[in-house]
Amino acid sequence: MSAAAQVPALELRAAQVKFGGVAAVNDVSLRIPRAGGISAIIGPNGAGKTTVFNVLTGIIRPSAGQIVVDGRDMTGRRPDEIFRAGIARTFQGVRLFAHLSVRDNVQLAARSAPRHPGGAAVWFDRQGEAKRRTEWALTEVGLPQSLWSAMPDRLTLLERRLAEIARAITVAPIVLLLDEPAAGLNTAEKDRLCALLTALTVSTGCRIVVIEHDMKLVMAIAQHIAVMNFGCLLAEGTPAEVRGNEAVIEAYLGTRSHHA
Amino acid sequence: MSVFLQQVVNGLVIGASYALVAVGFTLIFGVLRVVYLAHGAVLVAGAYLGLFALSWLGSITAALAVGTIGAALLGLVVEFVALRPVRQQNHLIALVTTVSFATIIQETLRLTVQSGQPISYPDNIGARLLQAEIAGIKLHVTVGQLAVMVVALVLVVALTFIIQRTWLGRSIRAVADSPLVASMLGIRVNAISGQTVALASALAGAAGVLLGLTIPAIDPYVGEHLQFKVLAVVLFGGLGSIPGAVLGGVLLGFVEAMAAGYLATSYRDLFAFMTMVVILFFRPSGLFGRRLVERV
Amino acid sequence: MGAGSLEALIIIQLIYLIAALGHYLPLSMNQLDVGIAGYFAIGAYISAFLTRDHEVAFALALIAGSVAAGAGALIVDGLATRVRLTGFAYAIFSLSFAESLRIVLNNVEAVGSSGGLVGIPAHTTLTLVAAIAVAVLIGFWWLDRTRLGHLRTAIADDEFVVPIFGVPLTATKLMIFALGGALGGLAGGLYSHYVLFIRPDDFGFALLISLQLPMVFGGLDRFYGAVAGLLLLGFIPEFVRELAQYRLIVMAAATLLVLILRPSGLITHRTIAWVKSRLRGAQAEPTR
Repeated sequence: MSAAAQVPALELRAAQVKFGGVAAVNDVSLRIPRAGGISAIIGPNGAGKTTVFNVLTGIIRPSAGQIVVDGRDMTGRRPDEIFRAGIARTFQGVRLFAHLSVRDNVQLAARSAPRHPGGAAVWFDRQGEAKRRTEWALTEVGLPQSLWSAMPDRLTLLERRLAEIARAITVAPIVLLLDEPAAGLNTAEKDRLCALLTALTVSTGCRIVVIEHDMKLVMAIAQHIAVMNFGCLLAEGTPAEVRGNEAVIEAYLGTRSHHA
Repeated sequence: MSVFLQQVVNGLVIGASYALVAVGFTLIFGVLRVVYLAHGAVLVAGAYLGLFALSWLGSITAALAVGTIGAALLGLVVEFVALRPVRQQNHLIALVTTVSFATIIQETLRLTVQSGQPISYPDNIGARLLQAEIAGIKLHVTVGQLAVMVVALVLVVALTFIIQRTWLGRSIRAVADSPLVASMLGIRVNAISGQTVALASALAGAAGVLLGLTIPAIDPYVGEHLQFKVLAVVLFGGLGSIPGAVLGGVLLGFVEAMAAGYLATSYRDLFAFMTMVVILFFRPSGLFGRRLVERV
Repeated sequence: MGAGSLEALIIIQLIYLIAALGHYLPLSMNQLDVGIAGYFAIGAYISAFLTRDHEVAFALALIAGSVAAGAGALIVDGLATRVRLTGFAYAIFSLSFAESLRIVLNNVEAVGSSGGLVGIPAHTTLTLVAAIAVAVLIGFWWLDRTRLGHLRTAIADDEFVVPIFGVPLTATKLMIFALGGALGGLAGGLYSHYVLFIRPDDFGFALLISLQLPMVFGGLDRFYGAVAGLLLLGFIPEFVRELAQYRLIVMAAATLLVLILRPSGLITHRTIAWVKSRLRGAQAEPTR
């Protein structure tokens, strides 16, 4: 589906990230379309996928290239500015604040919604809007209310993943970046997660980008796939296009075609 | 001119003691890579031990030997008790444990020796004045001051020799580079850490005895005060860099000697602290050696 | 022990408590701003200078001292944050400022240099200090329930992630640092108007140790630990007259021992959770 007429939600242009002498991200360009749907970034470990996420969210400043959010150049901006521009993410493993309850974790992000300007609004406790958004997000991901006051260490892995997703969607981002959300889940849990992700793109209209190793999952839910290896973008396109791409097959898919 | 040269000599003496303490200090930081603030207390313990040796045995050599060895043993204990259990924790914990141990040492000395009154080394030994003439200019130096320069030089050279040429030194350098790789090569990192602190403490103990010989009175808290000045030296020269520590120590000695005529004593201390602020703000990596600031 | 000296003991310990809680704020976020003795000194000197030489009302002078100390913390921590200092470097940086202040005070005639500032009007009473201490404690309890408190916990838990959810990290940290410094300054003002005679050397390393060690001993996870630590290592030993000269060594030894065996201190998150579960009866697994 061509998104050329629309401004892409998120764009990476010729990004370069160097650690010492190694290029972790080498001249990578990505266009994440605006329309609700799911994109995936795949590739072997060390290919630079998480680094791309770090660049997109402003954690790492690229040595070259640009980040464009919703048509605005956000290169070099701080992570909190990029969040308020509409990009949210989760992390490999789960990085919830260990000593805040699930609800407080989500509410922390809810208070930073773009509608609140920075400054004083960030600190003074105003219930209302933030509380509403928090409860919406927690309900949307399917976490039962009995868990909302629990500390993260009392939750199962899936529940913690869901809480992390709730924290990310609470301000209705335009792009949601999920770093290996399915890692460590069993089949039933993965199915539940996939159903949730697909539902989310419809209900919130946001674009989800997942980094994943589970090829079956990726092929099932993603409409758009980018393949990376050694910091470079190998291929980009629909699942069918990528599956048929020779370079990809050679570098990655070919050796793992039986991998579930 | 003779005043100037005299100040040069004074600067060398002060600088030599700073260098002696700084070398050990920087070694600990470079090898153990942990916060360590018990060096000053070990120095003072060495001074007190040296005094006892002096009163019993009557010779400077004995005092030096006892002070040095006693401090080295104390260093082993400090490493074992205050550092080894908390190496993996964050900086605050190691800071508090080493400061706690230092406090214990200092308070013990205060409570047990002369009811906390400052101690003095007998005047007759250290204060004997020697005169020399260089190019027709008269210079005065006390035996104590001469001892400082000679002993400091000998010890620093000895330590450098140990680090560069012995098996122990190689192990220390390996651990300083990467404790993980060193342990994979069969080096017992814990033992090396202990020995490193012992070596550094030996130098501090010697410096304590030398301090006793050159300064009229020492109280248990002199070391704490000195420690921060030496920390400035270590930061200046770069953590883990022995040449940097020597250079920095001698430089600071000179600056203090030169400033002695012009600035009140307490303002001279200000210099060390402001130096640290400036270094940490502008060049956290110092001139040589590894960085103290972790960049995310 | 006479009633007078009991009152003196309690006043001083409460003042220390307020200052220590000011130090607690940065420490609990793992930001090693150890300049608390300096912020205390700022509050002590400025408020005393105002009431003694300029006849400013006590309350105003206290506030002025507090604000000045908060500003001092802002400067020190602002600079440190600017160059992204961490850990030991941060500690040395802030300590250098505190010590430099002490040295400068030793040389400034207007505040008596090393001879000290004398003739400070007596304004601090037990009632006042107790009221302020209680207010501060309530404030800390309440803080944990506010957004700023949640932010503090979040920064302590995982500083890296905080800005990614839209929080201006530096601004938040600086606000908390300023608050900590201001509390230190408030305590300092109360101190100088109680002891009526202050010298720069009162605000050195010994003060820092007396404030910091008991807190780390007690545990930095929640402020209850700081309070408990000060009670055990500060307050109670004062009652035992024979212990007076051993106070410091006992404090150091106890802290060292606890840190070796239990690096998080006496009272940790788990301790508090355990206590809470005891108070509410055993907690069933949340129903799913």
